[in-house]
Amino acid sequence: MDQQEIEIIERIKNGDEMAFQQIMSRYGERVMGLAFHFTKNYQDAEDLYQETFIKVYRNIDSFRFESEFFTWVYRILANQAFNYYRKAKRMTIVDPGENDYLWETLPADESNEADQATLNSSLREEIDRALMQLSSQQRIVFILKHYEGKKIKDIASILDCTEGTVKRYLFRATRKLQTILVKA
Amino acid sequence: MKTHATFEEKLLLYFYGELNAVDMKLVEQHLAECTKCSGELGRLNEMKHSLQYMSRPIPGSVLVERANAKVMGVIRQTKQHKLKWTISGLLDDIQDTFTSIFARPQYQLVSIGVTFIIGIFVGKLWLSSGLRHDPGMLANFVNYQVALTDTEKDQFQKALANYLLQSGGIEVAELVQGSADDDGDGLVEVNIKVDRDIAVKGGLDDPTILNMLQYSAIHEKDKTRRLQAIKLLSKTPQNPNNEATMISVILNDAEQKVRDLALDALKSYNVNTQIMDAYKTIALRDSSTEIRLAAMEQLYKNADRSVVPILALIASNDSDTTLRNTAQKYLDEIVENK
Repeated sequence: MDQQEIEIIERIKNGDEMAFQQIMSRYGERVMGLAFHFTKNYQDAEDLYQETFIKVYRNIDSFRFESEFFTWVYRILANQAFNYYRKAKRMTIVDPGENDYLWETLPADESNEADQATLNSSLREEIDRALMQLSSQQRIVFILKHYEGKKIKDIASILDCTEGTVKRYLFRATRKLQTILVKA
Repeated sequence: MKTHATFEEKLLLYFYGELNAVDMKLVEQHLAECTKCSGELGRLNEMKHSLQYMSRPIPGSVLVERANAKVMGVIRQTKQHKLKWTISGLLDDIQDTFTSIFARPQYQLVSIGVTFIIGIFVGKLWLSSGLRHDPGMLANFVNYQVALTDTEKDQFQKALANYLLQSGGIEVAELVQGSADDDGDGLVEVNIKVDRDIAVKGGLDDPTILNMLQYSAIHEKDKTRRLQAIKLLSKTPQNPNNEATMISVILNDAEQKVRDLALDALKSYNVNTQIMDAYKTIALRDSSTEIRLAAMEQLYKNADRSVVPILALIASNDSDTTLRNTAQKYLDEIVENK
């Protein structure tokens, strides 16, 4: 953790709202992006984002600089995602709603041809459906690994569990998705 | 060379770039030799390839700024109400703690175990609490207030037989081996004779006692016991079961004294259609003139249009002069009052 970040966090602990806004500006896009991966719904992603940062602010005193700050934020986000899954019971893919214009959809591979967009769209639906078939634990682990590129060790730290547990969920998720997507 | 099973996990770790240099080399060597594992890696890469096609929505800066503003709004608002903020935070923490225990991967088995243990504890508590001896619950069975299936009735009879066997005073009256033995396990019917007297105690508000009194009033062979049962029932409040019992006694009991007592009980009840119908039937066909007169009196007291033809029939056709005259008198008074 760099010195500047430590100072910002200390300022937040002292009640500096500007410092907190700085932190949100720094990590906002990443948290929002990940929240969307967890929820697959723009409105829910925004709610998850807000709940996460409110919790970050409220619990900032309990952050002891024992891990990376963003890992700690991830942990809160993952916990909120667990709550979200518990409440939603299922991952809903619904009409993105009125706020979808605030999201930009970037193709993963920019060298794709124009008509690739249609293919991407159907593939995305296919992948979303496949992700829905995973348990909440498998889904969170897979998203952290695959989309965030986190190491198993880091995921274990975020989820506060052993690497073995993360491996088990990751492997099961991979096998399940492999069966669905490769067959498809 | 190591087996596929050994490499299964390593292959996935290799795929995710989680192996150290030594293991990575081992896996690569294995992949060069093993078509099965290299095929598996190919399929994993195929999956990865599919996932890469997925476009990633990037939140626009406007969206993030707007969400940040909302977060700050909530923070400022709740800071103004510090107590509320603290309490809601505390409640959130408690909720999160419980949620995390039940939702987090590493605690799931533990939470299942804890739930199981709590379940056993609660179950034991229930068993030891005497709830299973709840008289209301048993009364439901005895009174057939719950619809029992044939299997449940069978089990209840077996449970009763077992209870009686334990407490003595029971003998086998007849033992028959049935012929309709479908599954070949030896269908046997044991008819039992119970010598033991069983006392059931309870107040007149006890559904079991009431049910037994109602049963006795109708089915008891001994007249004195029927009378006693009716006498006791007449002390209990009017209810559909009591009404039905009294009506049944009046219509079916062979003993005039018993019918008379039941009629007295019925007189104290508020009249309704069933009771009026019973009075009409008795007035027309009871073997006792006294009872018919009493029934006619009740019809007169609670007279409505439907009573007129009954009284007219008696007044015109009955062989008993007293009954004819009384019916005519009541008819005249009803017409006059109208």
